[in-house]
This record gives sequence, structure tokens and C-alpha cells, in this order.
Amino acid sequence: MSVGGVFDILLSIFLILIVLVTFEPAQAAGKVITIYAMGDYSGAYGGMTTPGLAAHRDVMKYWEKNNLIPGAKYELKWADSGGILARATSTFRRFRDSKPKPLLIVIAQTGEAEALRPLFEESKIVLFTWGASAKVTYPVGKYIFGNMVSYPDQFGFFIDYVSKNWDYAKMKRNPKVGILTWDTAFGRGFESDVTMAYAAQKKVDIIKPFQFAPTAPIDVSTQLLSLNKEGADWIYSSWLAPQTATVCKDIVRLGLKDKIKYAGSCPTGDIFLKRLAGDDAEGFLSTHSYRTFDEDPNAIWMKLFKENNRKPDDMAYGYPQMVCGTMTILEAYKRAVNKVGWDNLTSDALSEALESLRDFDAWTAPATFARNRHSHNKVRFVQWKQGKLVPIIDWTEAPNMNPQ
Amino acid sequence: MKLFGTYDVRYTQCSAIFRTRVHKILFALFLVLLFFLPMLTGSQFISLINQIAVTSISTMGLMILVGYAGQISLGQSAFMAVGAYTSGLLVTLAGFPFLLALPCAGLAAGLAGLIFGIPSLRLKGFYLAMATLAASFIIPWLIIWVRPDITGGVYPGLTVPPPDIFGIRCDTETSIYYLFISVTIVMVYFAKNITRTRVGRALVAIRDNDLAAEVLGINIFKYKLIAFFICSVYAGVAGALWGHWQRALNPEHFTLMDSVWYLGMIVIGGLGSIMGAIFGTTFIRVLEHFVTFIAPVLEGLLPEGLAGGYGIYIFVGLGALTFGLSMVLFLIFEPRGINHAWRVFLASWRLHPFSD
Repeated sequence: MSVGGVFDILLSIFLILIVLVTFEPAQAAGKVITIYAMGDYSGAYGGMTTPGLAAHRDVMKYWEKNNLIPGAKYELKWADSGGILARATSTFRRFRDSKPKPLLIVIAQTGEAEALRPLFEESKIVLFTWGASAKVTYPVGKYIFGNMVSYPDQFGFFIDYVSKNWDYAKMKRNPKVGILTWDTAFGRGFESDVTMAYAAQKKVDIIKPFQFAPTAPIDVSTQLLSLNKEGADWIYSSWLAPQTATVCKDIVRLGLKDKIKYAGSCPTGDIFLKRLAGDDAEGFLSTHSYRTFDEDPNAIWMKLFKENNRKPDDMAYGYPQMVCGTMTILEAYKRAVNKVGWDNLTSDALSEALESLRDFDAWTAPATFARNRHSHNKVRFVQWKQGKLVPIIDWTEAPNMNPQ
Repeated sequence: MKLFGTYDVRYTQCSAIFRTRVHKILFALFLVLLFFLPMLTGSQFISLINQIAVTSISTMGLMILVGYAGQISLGQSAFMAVGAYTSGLLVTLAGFPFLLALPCAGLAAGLAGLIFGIPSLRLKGFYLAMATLAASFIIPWLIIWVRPDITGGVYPGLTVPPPDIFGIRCDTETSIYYLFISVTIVMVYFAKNITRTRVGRALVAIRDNDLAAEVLGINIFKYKLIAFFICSVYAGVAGALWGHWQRALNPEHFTLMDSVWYLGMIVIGGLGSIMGAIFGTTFIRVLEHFVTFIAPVLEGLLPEGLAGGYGIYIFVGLGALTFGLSMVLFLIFEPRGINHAWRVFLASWRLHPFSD
């Protein structure tokens, strides 16, 4: 075949692609609840976020089977950005221009949520984010909700723990917390003027500058030794289990286990830490916004996990996170439908329904929102003990780090 | 496309952008089509065009550097960041009008490009790639750490307003479209002309044989730096447009992977042609739009239970697979890019029926 002929074919395929991408399939008629989910499902966060899609499916199936919203059909529309903002922006615009207009979109990547927040507010679509960084969560926006205790609030909770467990009289100095994290929106999601001031108020010294590590660090000796030199009593991270595992192993290897305690925000304590760090993870502490796979095997969500033939790799943190997220979203839909009816269902109604949730049992976490707090308020502190995540402080209200 | 009986008898005719009246008429019709496009299509399509336009500006700059001057840069995304932040800061802090901030953004990025282009005097190929790679790390670092009180650093980043053109706020896809298309046409015009000038010919000479070019009296260092400057100006303009479209800036938005993909786009489009940059960009952007659209559809078609619990995982990976595969296939079957195939296609039509 000639090159011209090949190009004819290529051009035809290309034109078909263009037609396809601009074609918007008709939405199923009737009472349909569509959860739009977008984010980094194949990039750096993929291992954690993709099980979230499975969770969306499983919970929606449960609601449909049990007719929890009478007559409602459920639909999941997802799109992967691969962690590339251009793709995320394009996906958001595609979703936004769908007919009917989406009322709520879930985003599984902190950086994308931060970047797209202004567009969500302008489009009056509820942003339901996985990553509740300070920039996404604050200031509280009518359409912006975080499906967890925000990272700043988690950090505040951690500071409380450090402060309460420090013997100021005996030590005659403040505890020192070193930060070892990603230099990204998620990695520094806890950082704000309020959290830093809160630490100072609680007499906890934060070592500056922060130490950063690459996306997939294989060694953090330099950072650990530097923090040790600065006299760190604690190290705090905000990243995922593989990075946490590296730190746990290096702390043991460098003989710092008795000197420095290690803690992190919720995704750091993923159940995969067991596989990645083994015994070296023993004693690691993390704030946790959800129940874990190590708890009640008879919980409904654990049964759903088995019934739907989910695989061991789905046991990542994202599954319980989005069990909670989907439960919360569907409950909000239910309340909004009951209040305003299907025909008047808007993102405003959905936002108000979300704000009305108080200790709602979302199976893996109690979900509470308020007008001045659009992320959960209750968090736990869990510790790795003999290969299991054990809650050492059960659901407790985290301090509110809202700048206002 | 030249019609039968149209022959070039002078060099200026041969290098003219519009060689015949038919060309001019076709171009005028194309402009009319572009003008009415938002009225004929939906905002989703317009959004895609906007993305193609802004990326094309950046890849056109890269094409001048890589395709014409034979240099390489892995810092294009970082230079876009320079443009985006320059424009964002000038508009938000200094109160510059967008139309003034835009060329300033190009200029600032161009100056940054000059600095990172200096190693090109001594380095080539992989070594130069590594030197420009530094831009991808140093520029974001500077944005985050030098004056975070001004740039917003990683947290809270920088919020920028939509472009304001003589009091008209471009905050819809359609208004952005008209802005982006106008700027893109101007940038294509400049790019096409640069390649037809003394500078363009010097760049091609350096690309083809730098020693011979030097013997001919071409100041290699000067022209290499000019290529880096032009490339970065384009990146800066693209970055500024992107920033004001996106409304929020963070160094994380400008990654090394983006720079790598820009190189991929010009390779797929065809090195050594401005149209190649546009073709490559269009191809990749449409493809990624298509993949993000089709992967969930395919996953939905998969009978439940057929792939066990792995259905989602299979299709989530479709994007990465498609991009990798398309790149490899292009390099194997059409190494000279879409633009070359397009030219052969045009030639075959021109010679029809003798071309079959």
C-alpha cells in the first residue's frame, strides 16, 4: 500500500476519533444518579486510587439492589488523567459540558483538585475530593467538599498527640518535629500558616527547612541524618505507603528507631506497609480517616469486597476511602431528593444535603460536615503493631485548622 | 498544493507561504471556518481546540529549536512555567493589562531560555539534553523557594484572573477560543516566516552540518542562542495563555513529563516543519481525549465477571499503552511524521490518476 493510501486510512481513523470524542452519549432516562470520577488512576497514585473506582461500583450496586433511593438507577462515569493536568482539565470540561450537567464530580488527585477548584466554583458543580489539602479545603467553598479529615486538621491532631505525650517538665524543652515529605500539593497539603501557628501554640517546634524526597525514594538516609542532626524527636510525612516503607526501613538501618518516632497522614499507613516494610514498620503511627481491612471481617463493606470478587491489590487505602465517599455522596443524593424532589435536584441542593450530614455512618468512617467545615471532623490515630493497624485513639474530633 | 501548470520560477515563489491564489482562497475559507466553528460545534470540541492551540504554540517553538536548529531541550515545560508566572504576577501584582503581560511573559521565558541555551555551545545530543533537563528542576525550585511570598510556591500557589482584552473578560470557552486562535495564527505566521529568513536558513545549516555552517561564516553560538530564545519565547507565550485559562498556577503543573511529550509531539508530527508541530500536537491531544473517553466505555462493555475484579485495572492502563504504542508505531512506520504523510497524500491527489 502506498504512503498516500496509509495516510487516507490514518486520516479516516483520525476523523472518526474526532467525531467520537465530541459525541456525547445520551444519558439514560429517568431517575439516574451519575457519579463522575476523575483523577490519577494510572500514574503515581494509581495503586491507591483505582480500588476507589471498584468501591464506587460496589457501593452503588448495593444501593441499587436494596432500592435505597426508590426507583433510582446508578451510573459511574470515570476518566483517568494519569496525573497529567492537561488531561484532567480536558476531562473536567468534558464532564462539565455533559447533558444533563453533572451535580458532583469526584477528583482523585490533590494537585488536580487544587488546580480545578476555581473552575468548579465557577461552574457550580460540587467538587468531592480525595485529597483535602489546605488549598482545596480552605477557605470553605459552597461547592467544595473533602472526603476525609483535611490534611491540616490531621496535622493538628498529630500535634495534639505529640504535645500531650511529651513530658515538658522532664525534658525541659519542646518536642521537635521534622518534616520529610513530597514537595507537592499532596505532600505539603498539611502546611498552612494556621497549622504552623498551632504547632507553636502547642509548644511543638517544627524543624525548618522541610526535607523532601523524590516520588519513589529508594534511600532517605541523607534526609533522616539531617533531621537527626537537627534533634528531631518525631518525623511526619504526607505521602503513600511505598515512601513510608522506605523511611521505616532506613530508620531501622541507621539505628534511629529508639531516637526518632515516625508518623504520617492517613494514606501513609496503608495496609500494604505490611508487605513493603515488614517488621520495620512496627510502631509507625498515622492519623487515619477510615476503618481498615484489619478490623471487622463481618462489616458490610468487607462482605461487599468479597462478594464482588475484589482482589488483594484492591485492599489499598482507596477502597475504604471511596466506600465512605460513595456512601456519603449517595446519602446526600437521598436527602436532596427527599427535600427538593428529582426535578429540582441541583448542586446547591446536594451541597446543602452534604452540609446536613452529622456523624453519618458511611461504613468506613463517620461523615460530618458543617457550613464552616467541608471535610470530616473525626479522625483516629492508628499504630502498626505485629503487622496490623491498631487504633490507639478511636474516633476523636480533630482541631479545626480553618484559617477563619 | 500546487495545481497543474503552476511552476516556481523564482526562489521567493518557491518559499512563499501562499504560492497561488487557490492557496489564499483556501486559507481565507479556513479562517472563516475557524471564526464560525464555535457556532457549529459544542463547547467540548472548542475546549479541545483550545488545548491544541495552546500546546501547538509551545511545540512550534520546540520545533524551531529541535526540527530546524537540530538542538534539543527537555525544559520546554519549565519555560512555559516562566511565562505563566511572569504573566500571572504582572497581571495580579503589577496590574499589567493581559495584552502587555503576554509579550512580557514571552520575553522573560526567552531570557531564561538564553541562559539554559548557553551550554549548547559546548554540548550536543544527550549531553545537551541533560543540560536543558536542569531547567526542569531549577526553574520550579526557584518558583517554590526563592520568593514564595510572591509566587505562592506549592502552597497556596498563584491564582490568576482570566484574560481581559480591552474590558472583555475571556472567561468562557468560546471567548478563550477566539483569543487562543488569534494568538496561534500570529505565532504560526512568525514561525513560518522565521524559517524562511536568513536566521531560519542559518539554523537549518547548523542542524545539517555545524562545521560546514561555521566555515560558511555562520556564528554558530549566536544562532543556537537565537534558536533557544525563540523556542522559549513560544513556550512563555503558551504558558501565559495556559495560566490565564487555568486560573491557578502551581509548579507541579509544569512537569518534565510534559516536556518529554512535547518532544514526542514534534517527532510524531514530523521534525523540520511548523505544520508538523501542529499535526503532532493535534494527534496526541485528540488521542488522549479519545483514550480518556473510550477506556471507561470499553470497561463498561466488558461482561461483569469476565475479567474478574480486574476489569477496571485493564482499562485504566489503556492510556499509557496507547500513547506508548502510537509513538513506537510512528517511529517504525512513519519516522518522518504526519506532515510527511500529509505531503505525500497531497501529492498523490495532485497527480491523480497517475499516482496510483
